[in-house]
Amino acid sequence: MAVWILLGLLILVTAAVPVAAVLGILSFVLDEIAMDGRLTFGIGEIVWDKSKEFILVAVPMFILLGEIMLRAGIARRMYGAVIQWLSWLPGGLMHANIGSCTIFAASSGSSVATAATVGTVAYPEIEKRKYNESLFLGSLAAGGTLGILVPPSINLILYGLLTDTSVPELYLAGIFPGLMLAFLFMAVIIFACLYRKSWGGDPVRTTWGERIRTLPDLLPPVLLFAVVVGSIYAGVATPTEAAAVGVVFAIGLAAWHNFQAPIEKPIDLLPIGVGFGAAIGCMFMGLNVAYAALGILAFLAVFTGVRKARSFPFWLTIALFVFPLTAFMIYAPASDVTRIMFGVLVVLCAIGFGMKKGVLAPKMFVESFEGTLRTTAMIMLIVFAAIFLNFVLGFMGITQAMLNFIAELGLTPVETILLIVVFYLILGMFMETLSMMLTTVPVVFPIVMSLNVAEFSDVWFGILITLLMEAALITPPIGVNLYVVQGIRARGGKFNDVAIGAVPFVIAMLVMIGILIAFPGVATYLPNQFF
Amino acid sequence: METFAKIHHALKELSRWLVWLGGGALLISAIIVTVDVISRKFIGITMSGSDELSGYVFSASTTMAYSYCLLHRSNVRIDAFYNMMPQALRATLDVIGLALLMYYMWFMTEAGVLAFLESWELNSVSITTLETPQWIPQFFWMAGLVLFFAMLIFVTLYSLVALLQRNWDLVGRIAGIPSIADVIEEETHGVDVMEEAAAGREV
Repeated sequence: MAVWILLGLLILVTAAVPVAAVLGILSFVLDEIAMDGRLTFGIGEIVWDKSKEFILVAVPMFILLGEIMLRAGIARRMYGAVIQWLSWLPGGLMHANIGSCTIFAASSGSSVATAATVGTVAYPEIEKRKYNESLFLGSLAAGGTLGILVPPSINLILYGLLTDTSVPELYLAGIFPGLMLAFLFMAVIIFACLYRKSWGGDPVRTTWGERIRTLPDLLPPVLLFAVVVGSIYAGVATPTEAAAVGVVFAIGLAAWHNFQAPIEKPIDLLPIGVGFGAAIGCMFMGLNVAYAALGILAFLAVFTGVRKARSFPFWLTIALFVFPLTAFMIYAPASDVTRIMFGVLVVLCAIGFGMKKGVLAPKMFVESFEGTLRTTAMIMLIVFAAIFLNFVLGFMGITQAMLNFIAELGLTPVETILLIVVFYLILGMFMETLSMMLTTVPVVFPIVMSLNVAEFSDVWFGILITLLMEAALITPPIGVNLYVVQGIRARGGKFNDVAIGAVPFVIAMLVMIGILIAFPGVATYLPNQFF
Repeated sequence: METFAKIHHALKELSRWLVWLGGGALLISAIIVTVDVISRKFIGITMSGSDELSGYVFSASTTMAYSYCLLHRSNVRIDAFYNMMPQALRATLDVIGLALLMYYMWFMTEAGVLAFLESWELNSVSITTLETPQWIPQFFWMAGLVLFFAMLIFVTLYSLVALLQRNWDLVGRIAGIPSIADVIEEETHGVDVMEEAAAGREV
């Protein structure tokens, strides 16, 4: 029986049937065999309950925030800044590829968008600075994968939902391995370029003045990351709330980006520093009113551009608006809901004002909405099918059968984990990553938990499987990021160039996976400090 | 055939409008949640139920976006072997894939409608302070499912007719897996990445 089911599954997948339909039909068939189709009656309630789950709302929010950052053109300017800071290393711009992918990926939900955006800006440099094309393209494909490990990551949310693992803990666990992997990638580039000097291309010359001038271009993604991830760990917001705050913040950043005046001297950064410093100072002294007002002021200083922020009339105007609004929010003799709705209205007016002034393009919103909901619908159609499959599997005891099978193999826990790693590496060569995770986690997760090794926790496995998904993104024949990088090569060339260039980075990933298995603390240390 | 093409175009427009609506609703709920978080932290007032409301917005905008996803060929399919097949076989698989998706969605849609009707008859409310009658958000959620199913029927029929006419190109345009160039275009069209790549713009 099991053989027939697997065979049927294989045929459906080979025939490129939509993954959601494959999972759904598999659930129906299993349900029909085991429970006479009784569970299928419950599918409406199961899916509805999950459909309005607050943690899932984080998925479209994070995608929307990435879309806004992308369409506002923030990523492109950031690349120029990262070049200034990282390209003195042997390997030059390739480090900027990894660096800006890490930063941008931390705010974007789509690894396709990340690789494509950074890739198109970087691509002309290959010829100009005579890089080894293969390695350069590989660094782009590999850098793009970091997005699913560095928080905020959509994959980790979905993993958390399927396995009942805390998303904030997963996010904390992802930070260190994500950074380590980025450093491993950079180490690979350094070694390769020390080995063959010609691969590293012509060096980039820059000065400290130049570097400081580009700092504001680095600021938006860093600030966004600080707001989103910071508010989760400060206990201010849940992941979904943090994502929502991130969306509003990203709109502010987009407006700033379009309005920004150039920074000429380091002193130009002073107003922002003073604003934020004062805000943080007030927070420590417990001055709520002053804090709220100053926070908004500091935000607006960033918002409206540094040059303007230095002029006195500007501050006066802002103060005249901000203080009454803040005071109303705090002291108005109205119900809480009214005061909050007033705040919402203020934000909406600000967005409308931004549109009128031409710093926020309606086109940006419309395209962001389309991109966001297309991706969300694409993911959710599969997620709901996977949730139902999970439910059916739970009832059928297939998981138990699987556990018995693994127990009979008589492997040690580490051997079992290695077996799982090999399984995913092979599967990842052929399968789209998200569907790969959603279809296999319901079965594989209980196996890992049944090992009963304290270090191999649910959080740890979430990071391991995410690393494996990253590897899947750049292992041929099917690796989405390889395709994307191939797709942006204006001069064309063999697909093999990209695939070969990615090999050193796949090795770096394998090293990282080895480290994670040998020292699970790499992932679990941070969350253990907090929770 | 021309009528089919016209309807297809009209449905595409409709689905785009729905997505704008859903996106706008998501943005507004993001703003509500943001203001709620900030005021909760700094002035100690909160609006209970902003999480519940955004959950409803999410459920409805997702099902409403299914149609958009379908008409823009964004359903996830494994194309490892698909890309190696001859065009005629690919077109046949496109139609089969749609038919199977329709089969699955038939159950989902039916279950969605039943869940809605049950909430309507029992007048069930959420177990929160808002006590939202469940049929209201469920109605929008279900409407999205029904719409998606209706569009599935149409697209399957359209591509089947095209298949029978051996018009492989048309089947590919309605139901095929988009090429990687198309995917990059879709994911970055606001940035005009491809044109700039072609122009070889400075960093």
